[in-house]
Amino acid sequence: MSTLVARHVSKSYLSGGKPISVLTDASLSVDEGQFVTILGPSGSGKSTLLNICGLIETLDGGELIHKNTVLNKLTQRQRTDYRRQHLGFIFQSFNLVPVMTVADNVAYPLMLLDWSEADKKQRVREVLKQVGLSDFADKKPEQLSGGQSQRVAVARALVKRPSIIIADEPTASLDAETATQVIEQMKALATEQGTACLIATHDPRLLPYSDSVLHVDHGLIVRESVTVKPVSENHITLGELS
Amino acid sequence: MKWILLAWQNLGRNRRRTLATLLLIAMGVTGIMTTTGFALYTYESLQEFAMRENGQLILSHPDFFEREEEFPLQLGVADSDDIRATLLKDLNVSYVLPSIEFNGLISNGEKTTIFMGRGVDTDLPKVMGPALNIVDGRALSLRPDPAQDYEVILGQGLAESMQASIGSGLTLMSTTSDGALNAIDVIVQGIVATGIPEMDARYLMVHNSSAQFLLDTDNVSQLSIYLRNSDLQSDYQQRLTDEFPHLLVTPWQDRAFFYRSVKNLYDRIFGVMGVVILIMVLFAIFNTSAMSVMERIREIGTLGALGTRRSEIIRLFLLEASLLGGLGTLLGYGLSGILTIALTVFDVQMPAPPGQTEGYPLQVYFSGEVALWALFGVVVISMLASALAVRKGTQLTVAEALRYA
Ligand SMILES: Nc1ncnc2c1ncn2[C@@H]1O[C@H](COP(=O)(O)OP(=O)(O)O)[C@@H](O)[C@H]1O
Ligand SMILES: [Mg+2]
Repeated sequence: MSTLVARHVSKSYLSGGKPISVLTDASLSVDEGQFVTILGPSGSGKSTLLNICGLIETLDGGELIHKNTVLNKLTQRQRTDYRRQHLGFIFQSFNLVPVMTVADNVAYPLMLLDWSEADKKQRVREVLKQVGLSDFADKKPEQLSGGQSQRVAVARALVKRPSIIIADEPTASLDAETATQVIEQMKALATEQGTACLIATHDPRLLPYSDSVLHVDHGLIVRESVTVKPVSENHITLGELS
Repeated sequence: MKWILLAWQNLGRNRRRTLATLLLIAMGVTGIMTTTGFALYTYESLQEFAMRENGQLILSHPDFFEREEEFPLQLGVADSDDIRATLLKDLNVSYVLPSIEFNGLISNGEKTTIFMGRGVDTDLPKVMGPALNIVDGRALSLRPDPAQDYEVILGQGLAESMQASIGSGLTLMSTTSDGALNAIDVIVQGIVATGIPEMDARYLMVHNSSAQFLLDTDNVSQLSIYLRNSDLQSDYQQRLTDEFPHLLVTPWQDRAFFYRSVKNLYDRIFGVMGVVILIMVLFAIFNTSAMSVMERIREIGTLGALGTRRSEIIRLFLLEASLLGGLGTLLGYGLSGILTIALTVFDVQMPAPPGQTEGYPLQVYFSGEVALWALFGVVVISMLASALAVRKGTQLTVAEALRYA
């Protein structure tokens, strides 16, 4: 069953007074628990598409549907509340809140949902254990390495069991080894709780984990491939793109 | 609760900036607390001084304060003894002191000058206490000996001018109420300092009976009514007006010109100072909040992406500002408390006010009411400043804020 469906999405920005079209006719669908990767050259509109799907950017045309809700009709406040309830985010540069401890960072989405102190504590402990950072609960983000920080971010994104996670270049700030580790943890956790992942990346190491790869170019989804083991094919794709 | 904790943690982000802002607020609050404390102390001292001299209410002829008398005590109160006896039956009335204002010439035999005299009741020293500053000799006798000369207390300057000391004999001359010239011999009983040099050069006090003899009258100029409790003042003002329709009842404030002009002046000076201080606080908080917002735009975007409402983000910044304002105010209480205590321990004298001879101790009242108002003012201003600063930072969309370098 499709969790998230985007149909004929278009988006343009004003640049120096005249509109430049970033997305012209992008469609995608993400099924429950699916791991979907968006691939494309820099400037092709991956972030824009992701931001629209993540409800932090509005679309100009087309529609966006999550389960049975038409999201492109929501007000700003409703979009905020929708993110609060249903979405998780992972960013390229981790974006942990520096004054909060690791545990508080992970607990933040639960705090927004008014979880009780006890439930919150238990859930945070559980998720931190899953990402292997139980011993770091009381540390501040500045005391963590890049890989550890991104694992905290993964924990923060998944802690409320959202139906979908939006991740824009989640491995771009990490070295190869930690990138793999982070993605494996993310995939394992997401799969376990049935959370879908929508990821923008140019990192080929992500492709083997993907259930589906969308190739974006100039705001159009040029090709959608269901990746059983499409390693060689993706090498070609990336060769074209970079 | 979580939000307050988060706001608190955010204050620790840039400790030096937070501390500098806190100190500035604390100093501002100390400024407000000590200046208003000083003004309150001054008001109360002057108020007490004025009330000791004239009581809370003054009974007089309706025109007494309005126009000049054509002859002495033309506008006096005739039946003062009856009025006094009636009023003293009321347990809330502690004293009713008649007094007589008169003037004339004083002479030591070789030199003559004019005086401004006051006939007073023998109980006056009791109500005036320290406000009656006898620098030499004694107050007027409680029971003047009719066989002796009339007693007089001279102002310091007048005593010098008459080359008089305790025990010197002088002559007072004046016109009686029916226009004849009269004179009495007086003996100097004491020398008084009023604090105002121009006053001291002319002032003298005698018993009411002496003044009445000199002026050949039974009238007095006014009756000062001292109530046990100043809260009863307006109540009694009404009652006395009803009871003595032929007389005028004047509250002490209407006759306390020095008190009123000082209060007017201080209210203005310290009012303006307070406003300046609050504006200073506004700018400090605005600056701190604006820097804090600019530094945290990406974080604002992150919190927004995670589902934090714009109102919650604004609230967070307002909380931070009010914490800052509140803590700064508390610190200011501490500082002004220390200053208040230090001023009582080390006796600091204020220079004499214009037209006065004596300085007075610099003391500051710690007023709970002013403290609460300062807290309220600072917190409201902090939130206002922060709201102005935050508006810009939260106008970006979440995506824009996240892209912000
Ligand atoms: N807020 C914006 N204003 C103007 N142009 C923008 C804005 N956001 C993105 N763009 C432009 O849209 C295009 C696609 O950007 P983006 O979605 O970030 O691509 P990608 O993530 O694939 O690199 C780029 O040319 C970029 O310059
Ligand atoms: Mg991008």
